[in-house]
Amino acid sequence: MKFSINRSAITKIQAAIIAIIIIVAVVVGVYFYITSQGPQPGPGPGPQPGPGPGPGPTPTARVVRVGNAWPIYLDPAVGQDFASQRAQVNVYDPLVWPEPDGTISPWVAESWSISADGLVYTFKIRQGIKFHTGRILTAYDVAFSMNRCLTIGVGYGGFLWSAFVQSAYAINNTHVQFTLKKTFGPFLASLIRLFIVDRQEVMAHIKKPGPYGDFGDYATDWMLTHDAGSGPYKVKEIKLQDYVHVEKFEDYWADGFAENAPTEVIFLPTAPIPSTQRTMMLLKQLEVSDQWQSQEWLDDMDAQPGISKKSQPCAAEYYYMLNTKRPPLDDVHVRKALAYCFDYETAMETIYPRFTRARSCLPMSLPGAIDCQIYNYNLTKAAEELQKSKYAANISEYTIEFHVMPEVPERMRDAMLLASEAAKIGINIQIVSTPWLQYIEIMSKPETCPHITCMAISAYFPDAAFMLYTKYHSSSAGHVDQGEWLLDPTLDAMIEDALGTLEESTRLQKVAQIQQYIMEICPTIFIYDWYIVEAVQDYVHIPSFEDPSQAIPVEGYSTICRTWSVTPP
Amino acid sequence: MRLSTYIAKRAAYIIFSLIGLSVLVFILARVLPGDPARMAAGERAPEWVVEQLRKQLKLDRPLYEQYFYWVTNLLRGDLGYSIVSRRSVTVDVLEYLPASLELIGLAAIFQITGALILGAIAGYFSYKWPDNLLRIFSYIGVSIPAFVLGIILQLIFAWWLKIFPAQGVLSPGVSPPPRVTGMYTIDSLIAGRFDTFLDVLWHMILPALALSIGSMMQDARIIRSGMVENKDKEYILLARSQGMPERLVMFKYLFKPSVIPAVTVMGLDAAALLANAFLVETVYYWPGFSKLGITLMLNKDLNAIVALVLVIGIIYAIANLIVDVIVAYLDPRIRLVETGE
Repeated sequence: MKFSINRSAITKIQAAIIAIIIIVAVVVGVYFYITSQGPQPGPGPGPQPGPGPGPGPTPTARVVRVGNAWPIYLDPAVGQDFASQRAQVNVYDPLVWPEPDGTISPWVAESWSISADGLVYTFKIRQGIKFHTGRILTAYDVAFSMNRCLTIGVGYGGFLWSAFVQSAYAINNTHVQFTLKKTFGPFLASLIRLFIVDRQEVMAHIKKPGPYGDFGDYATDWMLTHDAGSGPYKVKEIKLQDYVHVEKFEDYWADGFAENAPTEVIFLPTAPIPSTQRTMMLLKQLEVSDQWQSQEWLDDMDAQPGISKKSQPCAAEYYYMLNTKRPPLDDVHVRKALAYCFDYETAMETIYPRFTRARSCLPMSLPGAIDCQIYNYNLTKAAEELQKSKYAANISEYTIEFHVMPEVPERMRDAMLLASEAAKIGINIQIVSTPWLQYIEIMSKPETCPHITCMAISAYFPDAAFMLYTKYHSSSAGHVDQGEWLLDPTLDAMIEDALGTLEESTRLQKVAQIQQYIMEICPTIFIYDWYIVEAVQDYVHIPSFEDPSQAIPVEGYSTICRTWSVTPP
Repeated sequence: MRLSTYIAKRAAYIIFSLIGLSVLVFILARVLPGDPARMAAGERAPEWVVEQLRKQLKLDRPLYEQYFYWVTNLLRGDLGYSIVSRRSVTVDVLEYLPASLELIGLAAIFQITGALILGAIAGYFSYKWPDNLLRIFSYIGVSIPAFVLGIILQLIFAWWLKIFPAQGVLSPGVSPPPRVTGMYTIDSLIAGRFDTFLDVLWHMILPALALSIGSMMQDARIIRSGMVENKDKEYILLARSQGMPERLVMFKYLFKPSVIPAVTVMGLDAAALLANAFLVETVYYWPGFSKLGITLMLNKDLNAIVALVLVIGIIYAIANLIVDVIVAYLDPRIRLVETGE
């Protein structure tokens, strides 16, 4: 029998080898092709050189990439989280402006008057403010913006203004009037959150049918990827989940641009992966990090050449909320014992060196906060307090559950610190890892709300009375802001009285008394005042970081990009 | 059984599987802790806002009614409203899925090509140093999670060697191509922008490698094992005794039957790439559906979660079908078994 070799098999092997050689050649060729095109990969564009070769003229495009989280809701009637507000303050103008010292200055509103009973606010609108569309901002846009917030109900319109604002209407082109349901002392301060939208632009993009009757969807869909603002920057492109890219608005009404201010800002959702954000910072592909990174990450960035760790105050505080309705924490002496158990020095030195120890139930950067901290680490006093409680004889029979969110790993460490110190006086604390979604659910009822929950809470605007309201008033019980379930009528009355006080100095006096009262009943362990700490490239100069007295300690207002200055690296 | 009949039978099974999957994930998503209406409205939103949203999302209806609405909308191509992106889930799927598909497409190419080549080399040089070296790499590739591999590759090739980009789809200054399919590579070619195509491809290499290495190594080991097992079979002995060149014996008579067991696994691994892409897309800021999926799940975005799982299920089922067809084509015995011959 003759046998012939299958030549096609040999050819196939040779073809496979040739194919591999071709693939490798293509890959190498592509590499050299790409790297031969313009700027090398590595240091990202950052501030772009001007056109033309050689030593260029003054840089024309200064692009700054800022780390952020996602989602970013640029729509002022929707977004109320830090990530959204950070972008909003650059694209929209608020009715009034917060100053670093907590006072309120004119902005879109040039001046205002308040009726004697504090129920009617009349604002005169500044002339000549242009929207990004070119239209002129009028009082009708202001009234529309407030009514839109109230109708949509998500965001500040819902939880803030709907309780207090009865009506908003434009008297004429230049004057708008807000009528309140009841006196609300911080109302003026709250209007730093009222960003003015272009009424005609919004109405031109409503979709019908929608949940808002004649207003359809109120253009909420369109405003996911567009803006209707008048702010220093306008939207260039938004790719949801990917980036928010804004560019300088040349017709901006205020003289607020620093020399070499960024001409373009790109907000990137960097928060989830520290390693990628680190790589981007090192490659100069990110100029400003987000503020949610750990101490180790920030220290590592600070150690890199050309990058520095910077911080500025923020009116926010980190709390351990003690459920006053669950034994044994229903006894004030047990709560005080725990408060004396917290080793602040170790915590601030080893876990949170970037923050400062809390001195009150309010962050010290908030006007009206007083230093009234009376609990320091003292196990002797802790034991004495425990002896005064009704649970002194059988405290070891109780297991206090301390629920911590795994999404913030650092918090596990300080929780363990408290547990280890409390164990020294016989209080048994069990740390439980609980994801965010479940956290919200279990905190909604006093019987399911854990003994101890932890949360960082910020002021929505620079007013101490309102922060006390959102933190300790009975209406907050069940929300993530209040795991204490205080339901204290005395405290409620004090807070309502302060909120209803129009005159600021009087209001602040009442706020001081409230802080001392809260310190006495000890529903919370006050851990630290939050600072915004970010890694910043040295070629980006941010005034609020370099001079904290210029910082506006309110969410979002820490990122006023028009005040930044970018010098070529 | 004819191949067409075989395919039709398999397709029918897929439909039943997907119905079961939709019911399961629909119920699971709703029994998990968290109130989606509250999540969408914000923790501090007044109750009337939450109620309004609850009615809008039909969360106030009984479960079976919710499922009925969902199915009727699904048949019209409406996957519901996403509380995270605040728009139609269908729009989200159409926007983000193509980017994921092109990434896993490249990853699948790497996976299959790499598995075939490495498996053949390991089988050919079994128990020699190439096989031993590949065994070590296999253990590493299989044991390290894809997102860790992704970070390692990023550090080495993007930061240290600066060969590949660290993240994203396009280099700074490169504008995206006009959207046709949603896949940057295809759209670039359609627009005639070859430089953009290459730029996208360059950005895809590291994440695609990270995704594919684990399953590539696993599949290579399976191929290698198949070759080693079949090496001493009688028909191989016959081929050798008839004087056929060793290369011909290895790559024609030994390789093909050794690959068949691996084809099934390769197909399932390729389909699993979409499910595994969650963290890799996040590491590389690849704007795909898997990266979106993490945010959806953390915020209990019910409609979007169901859509996400269904999409993965459909891709898995289709991949399964393709694999079954390929295996049936490669090995006719399987079709004969089906018909009882």
